[in-house]
This record gives sequence, structure tokens and C-alpha cells, in this order.
Amino acid sequence: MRRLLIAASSAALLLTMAACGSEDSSSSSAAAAPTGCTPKVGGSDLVKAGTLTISTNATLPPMQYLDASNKIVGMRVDLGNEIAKLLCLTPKFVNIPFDAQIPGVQSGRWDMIDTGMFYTPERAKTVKLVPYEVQGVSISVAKGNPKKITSEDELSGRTIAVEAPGYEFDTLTALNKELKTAGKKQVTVRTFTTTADAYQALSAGQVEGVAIVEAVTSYYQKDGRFETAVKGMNPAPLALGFGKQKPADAVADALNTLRDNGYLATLFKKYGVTAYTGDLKVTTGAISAK
Amino acid sequence: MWSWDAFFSFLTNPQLIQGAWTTIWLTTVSMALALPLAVLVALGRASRFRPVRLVTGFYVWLMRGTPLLVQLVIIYTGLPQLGLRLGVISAALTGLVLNEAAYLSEIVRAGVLSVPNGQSEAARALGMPPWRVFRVVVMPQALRVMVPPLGNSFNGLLKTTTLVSVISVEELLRRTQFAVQTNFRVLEGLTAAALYYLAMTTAWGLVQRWLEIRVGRGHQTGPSRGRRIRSAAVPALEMEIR
Repeated sequence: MRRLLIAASSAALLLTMAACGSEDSSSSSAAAAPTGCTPKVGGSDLVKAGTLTISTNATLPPMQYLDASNKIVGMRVDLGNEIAKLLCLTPKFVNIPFDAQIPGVQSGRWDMIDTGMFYTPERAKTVKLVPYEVQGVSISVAKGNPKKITSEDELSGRTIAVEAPGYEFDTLTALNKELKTAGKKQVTVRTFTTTADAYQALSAGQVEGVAIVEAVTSYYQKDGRFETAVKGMNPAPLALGFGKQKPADAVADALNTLRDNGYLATLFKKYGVTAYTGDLKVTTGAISAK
Repeated sequence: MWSWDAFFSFLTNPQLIQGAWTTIWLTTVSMALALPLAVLVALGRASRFRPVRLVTGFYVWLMRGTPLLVQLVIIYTGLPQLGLRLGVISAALTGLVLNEAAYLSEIVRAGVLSVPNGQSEAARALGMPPWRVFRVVVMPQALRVMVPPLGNSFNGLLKTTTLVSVISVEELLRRTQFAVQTNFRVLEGLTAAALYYLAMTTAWGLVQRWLEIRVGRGHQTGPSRGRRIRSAAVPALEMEIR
């Protein structure tokens, strides 16, 4: 009897472990499959045939975040869903920190990175990038701006939290180089896994500001929790990222359709985001933030 | 494709070296602070006074019953809400020490319990004061039992320190992630980091072996080679130490 119990409980344990190991954990969400059309990307070029698997870090309201019912929502989620619809694929979002996303798209864990990733020429060498929107780095501070930070230079000597690795972190690193040349005090940069952690540190008073794209700082300013102290540092295009050429080209086509039919303009206007005005295609080398 | 060039450049990357140093520092300092606390807690749990037993028992129950990750975030991000603001390193050390001491106190307690009552009774009968009985009779015998699990904890702590990255301490794993960001050579970067951890745990393994021999003097159960009778084993082991 005892042996039986042990066997049963270890079998149960194995089953739970197997369940935990699957990709369909609570951190992903999928919409209904489109009907009456043929997928524009073949099964051999996708992680799962008929599905566009999309990675995002749902910690950045209003761009991508979890709503009250734990569903992934936001501007980039709307965009991902719309792209999938045009390609006749079922969108499936995987919610995962940014540092895992580029390795994941390279090793075929998801088809597309849709997380507001900055376009950099170095990144364009490792993944296929399709730029589509423009953002600058902004600094959120506590309500009332107690340290009276109003310019980039006034960040000197302050403690700023940031999600790292990432573009905002690189922006602060570059700023520190400039401050050093100017003989000014460095910014103490505290690095967190997600921007949500960085904002928690700000609300706990552990840091004096958070560096993140402007759409996010404006969202918190509107909701009254934090203020935007500095805007538009180091503006650059954001891009969708891919491991394979075919899905990248298909999504670029879809983006062109969405630009032509006015969907992109409406979506960006709703969220106060600047559109990228260059060609919507797989891009390499230096590009300007237009 | 595996790239040896990338792998070797990670091995000598200053980011990783600095991160490894943070990891070693955090582990050593946490352990050094946790061990005395653990002895106090273990003594408290064996105390004749009920309130002392209750308080120490509650502490161990709380620390072992909640995840370290939760404790760290509460200490760093939660406590400021109550007016207690600890810096990053103090918060990390507080979390690691408080958590580790609870586990270590159980090892100390098990060690003390492993010494037969007759030993301290005999020492008391010889007229030794209680503190001396504990220090001279009980502790040396308990240590022999405690060193292997304590060493195990140190080894575990070396790797547990990765958790403090959640409150922005840049230890080895976090630094590796930064370094990997430049060329996305994930396999090579993390393999280099794993090698650093292996080197640290291996070095610790040697220290632990030395400690085991040292506290096991006069006993047959230490890591001695083959079966020797006791009288022969003692000088032989002492030779090994020198």
C-alpha cells in the first residue's frame, strides 16, 4: 500500500512538472484562430504552424501590460494582433523579460519580438529588425519633482533605476561618459530585471528616478503617480525583431498595409506615439529617428 | 555555432570578474554574519526560558517558511513604506543573513543534539561550569557533525546570491547578462559564468575538506583513506594537515 502511494505521488509530481514545463503557462495568451483565409507564412517558418508566436514584456503600461484580469493588453498587443490577422495567423503572446527575448527569437522559441525594442545597428546584425515607431528616453520622478530635475545635466549625482540590459541603460551609460568628460558627478545607475521593479524602487524612495520611453512616463504622469522630469533623450526608432527572413518580410508587408489604410496613424495617435517615417522593411545599418 | 573566441573573451571579461568578486564577497560576508546568529538562535531554541524558545522558534519558522526572493523584495522595496530604508547592499545582506541563519541554526541544533547527554553530564560531574562544558566538550564533538552540512550551505549560498539581482545588486549572473548583450553569445557567456561558479564551489570544496579533517581529528569518520586503527589515524591525519 505504502509503495503504491509513493508511486502514485511521484507520478503526480512528474505530471505537475511536465505541466509547468510547457510553453502554455499562465504567462501567455492566445486569441481565436482566423477563419476563411490561408496563412501568409508557412508552418516551416514558424514556431508553430498557423500561429504567430510573439514575445513581449508586459510590464510597460500603456504599451504592453497585464490588465485586471491578467490578460496581456496595450498598444503593441493591438499591433501584434492586427498584424497576425492580416497574415491569417493566430497571435500568441509570451510574456517574458527582455533579456531573454533576443536569444529566444534566435533559437526559435518565438517568431517575433514585439516589446518596443530599440533599433540599433549592432542589434540589426544579430536579429532582423523592422523599425515602425520612434521613442525617446524620459525620466519619471516622484510626484512634485522633489529634486527639481528638469534637464539631462541635472541627472548628475542622482540615482536612477532602469531595466537592463537595454537601450535606456545604454542611454544612461552614454550620459555618464558625457558627464565624465564635462567633469561632473556620475549618475548612479541601478539595474532591474523589469521596468515594473524599477518603478517599485522609485515609489519606495530607493531611487530618484526611472529611465524609460516617453509613452510610459506620460502614462504614469496622467495617472498621477509619477511625474515626467526629462523628455526626449536620445530618440531612436523602435523595431519588431525576427529570427527568420520570411516572417520578417511578411510582417513588413503587413505594416505597409496598415500604414496605407490608416490603422497605424490611428493607433499611434490614440497612444501619443510618433510614427517612424522611413521604409517599413528589414533594415540594417545606421538610420535616423524619423 | 560555438565560438571559442567569444567564450575566452567572456572568461576574461572585467564585467564577469567584477561580478564574481561581488558573489564571493556577498557569500563570505553573509556566512560570517549568519553563523554566529545561528549559534545564538540554536541556543535560544534550547533555552530554559519559554519566551526565548518561542521567539527563536517563530523566527526560524518565518524565515524557512517564506521564499528568500519575497524576503528580499520586502526588505528593499516594502520596508521603506514603514520608514525603514536600507541601501542596496545592506538590504541584500540583511535578507541573506536572516534567511541563512535560520537554516544554519537547524544544523547547529542537530550538531549539539548529536552529542550524547552523558558527555555533558560527565563534564558537569567533574565540576566544569556550563559555558565551559559547551565550549570544550559539546562543541568540538558537535562541530564534526556540523561541518559537512555547513559546507553544503556555503556552497548553496554561492549560488543563491543570484537572487539579489532582483533588488539591483550586480552579481555574477547579472553582469554576465550585460556582457552577453553586446554580442548575444548566450551559450558562451553563460558557460563562462557557470565555469566561474564551478571554480568557486570547487575552491570551497577544498577548504571544506581541510576543515573536515581538522575538526575530525581523533575520529575515524573523516575523509581518511582506507581503514586505520585510531591510534595510527591521528598522527597520519595530523601529517595531512601540515
